[in-house]
Amino acid sequence: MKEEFKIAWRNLWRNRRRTMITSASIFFAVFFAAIMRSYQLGSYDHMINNLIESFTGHLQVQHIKYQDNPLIDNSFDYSDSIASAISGIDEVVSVTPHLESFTLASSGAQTKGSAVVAIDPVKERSFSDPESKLVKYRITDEAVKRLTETETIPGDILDKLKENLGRAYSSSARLELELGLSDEESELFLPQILKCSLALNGYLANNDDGILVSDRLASYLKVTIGDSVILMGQGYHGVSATGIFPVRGIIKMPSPEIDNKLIIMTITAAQKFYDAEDKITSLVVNLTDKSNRLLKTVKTRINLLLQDKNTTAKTWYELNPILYQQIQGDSQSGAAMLGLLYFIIFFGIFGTVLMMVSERKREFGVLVAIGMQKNKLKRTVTIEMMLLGAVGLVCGLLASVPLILYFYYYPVILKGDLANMMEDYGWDAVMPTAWFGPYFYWQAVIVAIMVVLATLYPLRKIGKLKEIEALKG
Amino acid sequence: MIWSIAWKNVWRNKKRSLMVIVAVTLGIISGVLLVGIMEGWIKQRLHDAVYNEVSHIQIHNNEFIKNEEIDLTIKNLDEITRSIDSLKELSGWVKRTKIIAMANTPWANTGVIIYGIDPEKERQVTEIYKEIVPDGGEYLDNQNPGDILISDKTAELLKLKQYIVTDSIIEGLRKEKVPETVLIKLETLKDKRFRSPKDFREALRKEFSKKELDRFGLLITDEALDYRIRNKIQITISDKEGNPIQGIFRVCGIFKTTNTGFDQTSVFVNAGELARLYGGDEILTHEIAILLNSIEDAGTVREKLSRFSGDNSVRTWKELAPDAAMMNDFMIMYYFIFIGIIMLALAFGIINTMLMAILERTRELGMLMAIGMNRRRIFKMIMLETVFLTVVGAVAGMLSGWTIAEALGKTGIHFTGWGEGFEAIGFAARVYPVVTLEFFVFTTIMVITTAIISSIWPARKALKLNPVEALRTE
Amino acid sequence: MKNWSSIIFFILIQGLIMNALPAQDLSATDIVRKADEKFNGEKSSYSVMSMKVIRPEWQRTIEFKSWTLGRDFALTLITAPAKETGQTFLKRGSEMWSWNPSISRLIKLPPSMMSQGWMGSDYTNDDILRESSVVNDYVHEIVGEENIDGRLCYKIRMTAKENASIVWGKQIRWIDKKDFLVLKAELYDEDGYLVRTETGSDIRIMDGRTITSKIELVPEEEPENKTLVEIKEIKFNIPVEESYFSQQNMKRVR
Repeated sequence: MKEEFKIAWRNLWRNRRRTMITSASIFFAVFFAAIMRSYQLGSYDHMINNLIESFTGHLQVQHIKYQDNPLIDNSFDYSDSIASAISGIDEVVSVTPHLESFTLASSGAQTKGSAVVAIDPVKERSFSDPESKLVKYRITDEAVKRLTETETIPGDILDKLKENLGRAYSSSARLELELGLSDEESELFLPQILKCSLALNGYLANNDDGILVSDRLASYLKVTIGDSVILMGQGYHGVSATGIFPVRGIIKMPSPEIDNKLIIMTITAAQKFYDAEDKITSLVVNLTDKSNRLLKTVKTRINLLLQDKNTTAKTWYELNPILYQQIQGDSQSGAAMLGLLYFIIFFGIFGTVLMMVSERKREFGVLVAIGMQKNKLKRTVTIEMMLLGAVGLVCGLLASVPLILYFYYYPVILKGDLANMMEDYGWDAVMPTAWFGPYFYWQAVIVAIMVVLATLYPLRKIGKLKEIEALKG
Repeated sequence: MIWSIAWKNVWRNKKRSLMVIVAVTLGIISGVLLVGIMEGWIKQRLHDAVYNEVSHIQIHNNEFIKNEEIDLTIKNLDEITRSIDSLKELSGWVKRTKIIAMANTPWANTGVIIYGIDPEKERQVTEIYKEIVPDGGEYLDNQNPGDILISDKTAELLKLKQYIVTDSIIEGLRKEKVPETVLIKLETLKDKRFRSPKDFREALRKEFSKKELDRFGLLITDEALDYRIRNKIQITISDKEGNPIQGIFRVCGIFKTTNTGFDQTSVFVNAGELARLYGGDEILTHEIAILLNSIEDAGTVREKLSRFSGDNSVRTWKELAPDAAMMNDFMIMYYFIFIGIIMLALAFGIINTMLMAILERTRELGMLMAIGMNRRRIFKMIMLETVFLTVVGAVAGMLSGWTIAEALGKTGIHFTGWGEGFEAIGFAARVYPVVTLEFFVFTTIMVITTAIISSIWPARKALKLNPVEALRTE
Repeated sequence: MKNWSSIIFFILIQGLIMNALPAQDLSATDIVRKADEKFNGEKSSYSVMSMKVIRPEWQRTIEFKSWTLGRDFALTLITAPAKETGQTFLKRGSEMWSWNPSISRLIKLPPSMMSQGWMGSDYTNDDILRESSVVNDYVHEIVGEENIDGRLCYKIRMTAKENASIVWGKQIRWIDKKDFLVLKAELYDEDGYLVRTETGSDIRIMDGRTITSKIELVPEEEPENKTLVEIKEIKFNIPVEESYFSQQNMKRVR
């Protein structure tokens, strides 16, 4: 064995060029595979995580009948101790209570069905964070007039403002994106624009008896901060629920459908309104990550903690099977892409090996002719391939590390409409790579398998070798 | 003469030549397939949103967007109609009545949006007529004014999606080779009507073991499914004064799209019949949906129409379905980066191959130089060979790439989603790769260029060698 | 919206005697019409009732007073429990209004408010609006005679007419031969499945009429759910004008 090793080693050094090229094909194979997979997992996961965390949360505790019948009658008692116990689980990042129902909102002559989502103003910051969606800037006639009067804002920017009359923004970043200002223009004009379009707003205090109204609903009901909205509907166990609520703030929801009908209030106010003392409709639980394994373990643990037999914990994919299927579908098309990549890089390796064999035919012929056993030759060649493979794999993986690190900390920044929308939802408009994980080492394993497969070819060729023909070259 | 030498060289070393040809061919096929899959997948996700829900452009009365009241119809309808008809990008358009309503059956009720449409014209703009479920009746037509088309989800909510096991169903299952043990258990459920999928599944779970359900559950559920077509639904809408008006419609068919949110709220009736309900012979138009020849035209057409729209708002699919638009843009970026990586891998693969192919000929080239061939000539010869091979590869690549893309474009690449076991909702996705001529040509040119450029350096390197050393190489 | 007071009234009224006609001369439609005509015959009414909503996990009782005029006008005032007291509901033709004193608000009620059954009860949207007519919207047929609670009743099958705006497929009613009281009604869907059963009981004489003072509604799919209406007091042909059924009066009525 030692002898073959020595021969293999010398063979590799003897024809450096060939060694480099073959090894390079393996290097590139694992390099690209690692980067591709990292990107795939990182970016898609980033997007999906955002979606899940913002909408359903990783897990929810609900009344067992709630998912089929989302009525307030299918609510359950909120227990501080259970909520704390769930928070106590290591991987749990946040536990947020909600009380949701559908109610009629009315002001003046306008009446509209709306979705009431009652929250804990403090805890909700770690989930949907309505505070970040409060309208901070609004392009009103007033604002445009004042800006025109200052005579410092260029005409084209004023035109853009006029085009966007009435629009509300929850962040200066969004306003900046909409106006399409260059960095220079932002520096010069943005502060003024922001100042003139600043909108008065407020959030909910703990146990506040007021409400937040979504922008479109507010404009339909013709209410603003300080006005009142009447809510009426059916409460717990059929009670009539009616009440007047002062508007504390206006929020801008990115999805127009939701923006049309959302009302946010505190859970205490809602419990009073619906006559649903101590009740909530769901407890949203977010974890450190959403791997299926983690979800299942935490779900089981939560279910053990729950004392009310009418409640249960559900994962996001049980709550939203359609989304889950779409993700499955996407990940499979991603797998197809990866498969194609593997195909290409396998070909790269195989091709190189093929050509190496063909031009070493004479060399092999000579060796066998002077008496080397075919098996010995096979072992030597195998060792050569293994060595090449090892070097290629290790270097390839190492080379991918800096790139993965770079794009993890400084990911590709998205621009344009897509970026706008993501910002609206409160997400980072970026495409990052994934942090190192099992997938990383799997790429090396897969490429190693390719090397092994490719090695079979020279072995077979050697086996079938007829010295005389080989010598003829 | 160089030409003939080059040509002969190509045929002399079949293996090496084949490698190069194959590299180029595969490169083209991969590139084409990749982009095809990407385009196909993205297009499909968008396709449903456009062809089932929002079309390319929609027009509404400005006020209607905030509050869907029955009298907020589209203003200056004739003017708008004329400007739409004059569009050269137009593929088709329809008018619709759109009213918020309550739908009632003896067992349940739910809120819906009722669309009054012209079923024939509607086929030119939406593809809902293609989405009728098996055994789900038929699409709406002009001949039956009192019909209503609802979705599978609405049927479920109204308890019109029922399950019943009858003798004939058991017979049918027997023919499908369902074992007798299972069929006997089914007898206990015979002739009982279940008014929701959940109830039926509960009953099945009580009778059968998990294994039996995993194997036959889906089949039994499919067979026992009974949509109550021709049953009546009572619709209640509000008239201009806000007073309720009621009317009866009969279910003619059940449709199902990939968007349950849309499905859940949308029901369709003949516009004329709906008009009879809210009184007056005038059919009110609340919505105009426009389909263009190409989705790319949406922006420009919107500009054009906005000029004449007055108090109406003209919106593109991006504004109407921002979530779909966002996912769409995201997926494009996502795939773009992949394709970049894969193309890079491809390029390196080709470079590697070319390096191997040429540097392996050092001895041969040394020989040629030794017998006096001009270095420049040799270089030319190598390049010519490369060109020959690349061209052959390109032709092979284009032909097979085209065939494969066409074939897959028709059958689709089958991705089975999470669909194991009885609990599955059963989702099978098919991607139909879409290849545009431009990309086809682009990929081919790119691959050829990569091949040729990557052979320049090794060729020159080989030539710089001393012939004597070259001869000694093996 | 909440016109159920006239529903209750309507159901009750079928039990009132106007004339006693020999059974053999009456067709099915006549019988039903008689019961219905009694309602129309009575120009107006005043009643005090309670409604008990029974569920497996809870129960609620609401008490109210109602005034009706013909088919088109009805005013209802909730008198108990305390949280609901003072709410009034007005029906004028097809308009439905509600007044809530705690927020001093008068609201016109949209159809979407009715998705869950009024006040959590088993009365549905259809019942509330009651635009349909038992006489005109059905085809009637006597299918037999049966004893209910010791009283001999006509058993009448009512099949919904094709274009009638009702969700039901058919109804079967047991109308007592002597006093024309509806002692039992079964409501079916189009496929012939029983959806709901209504029973009238506790027959009394109030304001000179024989009526069923208790009416019970039981949905077939959830037999543990019930809505029970009791008439405490009722007066017929009270002096009341259309002007009584006004928005101003909604706020004033006691």
